[in-house]
Amino acid sequence: MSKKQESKGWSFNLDKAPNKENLKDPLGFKSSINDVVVRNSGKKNVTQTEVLENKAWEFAKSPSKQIFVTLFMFYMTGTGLSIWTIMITCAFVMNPLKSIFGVNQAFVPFENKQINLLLPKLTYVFFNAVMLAGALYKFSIMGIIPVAPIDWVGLISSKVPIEHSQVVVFN
Amino acid sequence: MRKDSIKNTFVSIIVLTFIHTTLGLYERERGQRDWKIENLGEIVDLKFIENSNLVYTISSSGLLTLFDTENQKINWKKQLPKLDNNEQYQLKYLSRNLIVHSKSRALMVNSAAHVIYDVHLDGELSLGVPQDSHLAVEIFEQGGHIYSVFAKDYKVIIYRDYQQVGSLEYTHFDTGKSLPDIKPLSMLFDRQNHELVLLAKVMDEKVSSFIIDVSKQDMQEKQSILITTQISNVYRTYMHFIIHDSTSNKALVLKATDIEKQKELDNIVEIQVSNINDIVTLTDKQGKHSSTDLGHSSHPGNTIKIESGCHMQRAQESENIESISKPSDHFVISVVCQDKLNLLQINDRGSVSNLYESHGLTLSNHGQLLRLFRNGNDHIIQFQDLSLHFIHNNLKIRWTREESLSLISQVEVLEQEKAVIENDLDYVKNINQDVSINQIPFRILNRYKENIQYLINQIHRFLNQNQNKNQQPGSIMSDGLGVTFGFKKMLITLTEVGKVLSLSSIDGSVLWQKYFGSLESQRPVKILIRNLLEREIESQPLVNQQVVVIQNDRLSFLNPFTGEIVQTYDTQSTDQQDYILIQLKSRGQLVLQLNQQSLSDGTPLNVFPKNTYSADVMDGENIHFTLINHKDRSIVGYKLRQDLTATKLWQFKLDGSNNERVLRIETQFQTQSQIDHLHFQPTSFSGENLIFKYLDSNIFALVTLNDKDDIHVYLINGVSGRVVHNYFEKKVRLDLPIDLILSENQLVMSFSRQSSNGLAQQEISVTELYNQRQEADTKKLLLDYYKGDERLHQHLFSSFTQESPVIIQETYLLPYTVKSIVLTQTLHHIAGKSLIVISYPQNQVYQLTHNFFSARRPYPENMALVGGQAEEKKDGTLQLKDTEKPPYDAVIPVDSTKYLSYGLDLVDLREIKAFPTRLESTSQVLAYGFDIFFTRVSPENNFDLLQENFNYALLFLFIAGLAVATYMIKRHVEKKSQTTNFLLQ
Repeated sequence: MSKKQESKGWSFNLDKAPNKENLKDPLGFKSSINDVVVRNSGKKNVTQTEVLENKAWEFAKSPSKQIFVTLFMFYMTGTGLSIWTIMITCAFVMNPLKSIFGVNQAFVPFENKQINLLLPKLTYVFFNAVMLAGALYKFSIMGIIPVAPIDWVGLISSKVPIEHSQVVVFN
Repeated sequence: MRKDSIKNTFVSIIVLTFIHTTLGLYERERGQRDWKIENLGEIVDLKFIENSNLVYTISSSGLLTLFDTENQKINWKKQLPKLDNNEQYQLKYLSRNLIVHSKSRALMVNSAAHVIYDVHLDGELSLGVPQDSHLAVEIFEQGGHIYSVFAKDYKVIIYRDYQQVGSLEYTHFDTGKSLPDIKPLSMLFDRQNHELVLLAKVMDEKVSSFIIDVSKQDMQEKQSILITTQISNVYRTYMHFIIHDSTSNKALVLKATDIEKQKELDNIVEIQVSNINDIVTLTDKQGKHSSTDLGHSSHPGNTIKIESGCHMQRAQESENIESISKPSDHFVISVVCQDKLNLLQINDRGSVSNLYESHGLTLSNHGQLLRLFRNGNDHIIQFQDLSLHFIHNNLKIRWTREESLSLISQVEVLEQEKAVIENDLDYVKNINQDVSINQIPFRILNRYKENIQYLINQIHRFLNQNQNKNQQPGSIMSDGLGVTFGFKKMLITLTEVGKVLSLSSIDGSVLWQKYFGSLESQRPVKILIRNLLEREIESQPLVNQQVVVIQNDRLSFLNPFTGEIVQTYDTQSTDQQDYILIQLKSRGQLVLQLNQQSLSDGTPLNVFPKNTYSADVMDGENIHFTLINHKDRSIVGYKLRQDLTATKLWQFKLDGSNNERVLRIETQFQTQSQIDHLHFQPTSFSGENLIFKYLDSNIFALVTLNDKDDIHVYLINGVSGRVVHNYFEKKVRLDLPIDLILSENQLVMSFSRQSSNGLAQQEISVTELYNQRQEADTKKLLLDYYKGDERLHQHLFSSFTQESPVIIQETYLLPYTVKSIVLTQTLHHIAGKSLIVISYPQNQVYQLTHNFFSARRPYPENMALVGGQAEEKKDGTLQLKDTEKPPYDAVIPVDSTKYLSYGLDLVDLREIKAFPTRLESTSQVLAYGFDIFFTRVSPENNFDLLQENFNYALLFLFIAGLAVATYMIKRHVEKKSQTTNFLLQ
């Protein structure tokens, strides 16, 4: 039964193929990811590492695109103290802070032994710091940051005279 | 389906109940913020209008009103020009026609307050004739017409039904050279003969009667008699004239129809008569009263027996004389004694019947009777203390009004139930104390604890209130939060008639009143409110203050909540003496009596209450006083020693060569009793820098006037005697009101200046004082604070070591005349101040916000310079102008939304005071004069105020209800989802 089956079976033996070396891998199979070549619509072919590095830089620079939007938002919200200006400015302070503290987490998808992410990370932190500075400047023009003497008026207590005087009138 | 509809109805009911309660909150708040008292004043004449509850009243100050005796509302009021020489307006009323007349003017007024005609007797009638003559007025009905006739001097004007139909002149005596010397004395319409009789004095020697025929417009002299006595007063009864000579105490009775038939009465001091009969009430020199019916000469006079020490007044009748066919045969008197009041009806035969008796209206409570007005069985009585009582149907007193409130001379303010609050709430007690940083968490926790406790109390009260809803509506807000927020105060007022009244600041109701007597010797000269010493409080808890009433020869200490006299001290009365409160470090206060004798002899001064004083009480106290003597124009500074002798420290005299004399003195304290040092916010802002106000509560303002009518203003430190600042104003109109207010570092003076076009222009000059230093460096400020620099940590200073201030002053014009001004006061003096003014003559209370009247408004031309804050900071110069304020403009415009009295018809407001509440945003303002107006002002809006009657308990219950509802719904939803899951499986 088994012989029958064997005899009925068929197999490829590519070892006997004449141009064995030139034989292409099966569709989708790559022995190493470094060999992956990305065809980029007419541009020259780049490697996966280059793509990751590019993507990391792109991500690092992404906050810079928001700077103008942020500044425009600051300009539009005005310097008055209201729930909206405070909420918006707080949001613009919190977001860069979150980004700065979560920088390592944010760059996890781009990690690769062959890529040094320090510079993209620094760039990312830098742009977020610019945004943060903008928000702080906004706070300062709103008068929330206590840098002027009038912000410390509570330190000055009232004084009363030691003597007590009154007026008496004789007609 | 049915279940759903029941559920919907249930929810709707709950929602509606909440909406109703919420609306109820707003409803209850209405009228809570302000109140007014409209007074009638001292009523000199009153006429009842037949078949109605209305009466016309005229006060001694010339206020004519139509007053409803049913609901005590004044339907309308009209201020007539004030009269000179103690002259009074009189009313004549007939069939809904009212004539108000004085010696120079008569008005016919209808019941809607319209003046139908106005007879200016000054202009028309009195040219070239003596001014002291009488005006005789009579109103009567004849032939279906109402005639009103006015006679003054040589002219008689006749009106028929509001139309002038003629005027007659005396030509008989005209010699052609000068006008006839005729003084009309009185006029009477003889209803039996239908003749109008005019009694007039002719040529200083005889009295003549004239018959005036109004239809023919003719006048004939009828009779004349020679008269030797002087004429002080002329009375008219139903058919008689009585000429009274108050110097010889003689009275001459003349019959109107036949003046030759005369009768002489001797030894008569006072005569009281009525228009509706001929019964006269006479009082002789010995004070004995008698009555005589002049119409029946056969009737002998009757003696009216009055107990000694009692006082009698005859009722003035309002009965319509046209409707009575014959003179009434009785009259009504009121007799007030030490323990009771009686209304007695006496007929012409002398028999007496008692109409009404009261044991509350007594001589000791209200003084003597001033006036009694009668209409049938209704009586309105006014006493010497100006209290007005309406006795309805001879049965009961329907209402009582305190008209002495139209003559308030001094107001002191007392926080009601202060002791109770301070015991209840710890933070209120410590409000003025400094706190170190490490205490703050404990204080916050403590505050939370107090608030929770407070909330529980509120819920208790809320539940109790719902239970007792029918008995005490709305008591929760006035008793609870009004006290906590400091809105509930007692206004202790001293009136010119010698009565002390306590008003509630919630609604102006009289809490208690005490009459001390109207005589010069009895009338209180001053009232003070004194904080008790700690040892006194221990003996009587819940009372920590006393009202001190100062009479010339007596000092009385009153319980502030009941008005009962607790203690009295007899003192010696001298010419030059005054009383002040002295403040001890323990916050207790004593009354110090100062008199010229003790000060010049160097003998110890008297302190009251005497039993509380001991030498240790005064240990370490630094008490000074400045004596301003009007007579010798001296200003002397004294220091009080521990043994109560006074040492003279400094003295200066006003310029005698220019006859400079004291016009006004203004201290920093709103009232005589608020003498506690005030804890002001010491700084102000200049851009980003801090500047320091020049604050010293010992500074007072002295305004003097010299022979050139220049006004000189001095700011003097009462301790060191240093003149901190002085300036003068020229061309000040002294006939128009001048007022000034000194508060913190601000002196505001309102006055009118004679402008070049001859008109008076209203100005306010604002002077602000600042210290020379400023804080411009944040780092230095923080470092100095950390190092414990004295300038930041020292809480005390001596008035002797004060530097000179930097002065900034501006003057503004106002488009209305100002009578009185005040600056609002708040608890911690942090909120900005508004200037509250009484405009004249409209008597409106108007609010000026601080930005408009501040001396720190920058000049428009210097705005760029002032704006350069950075440069100013570098060179260290003090920049006092504030760019945040609007640029200087000489005229402060009128903003019609800032009228606090919103067009109320208030009469003669004279003074205005402002008191702080326990809410920093809010200040209470009291304007008083003839009427009283009280309101609340928030100079910088209500940043800390819900509403004092905000129902915290309801809020709490609502939140609790929501929490329960959420829980229930949650459970319901869970149950439902479980059921669904089960069914689907």
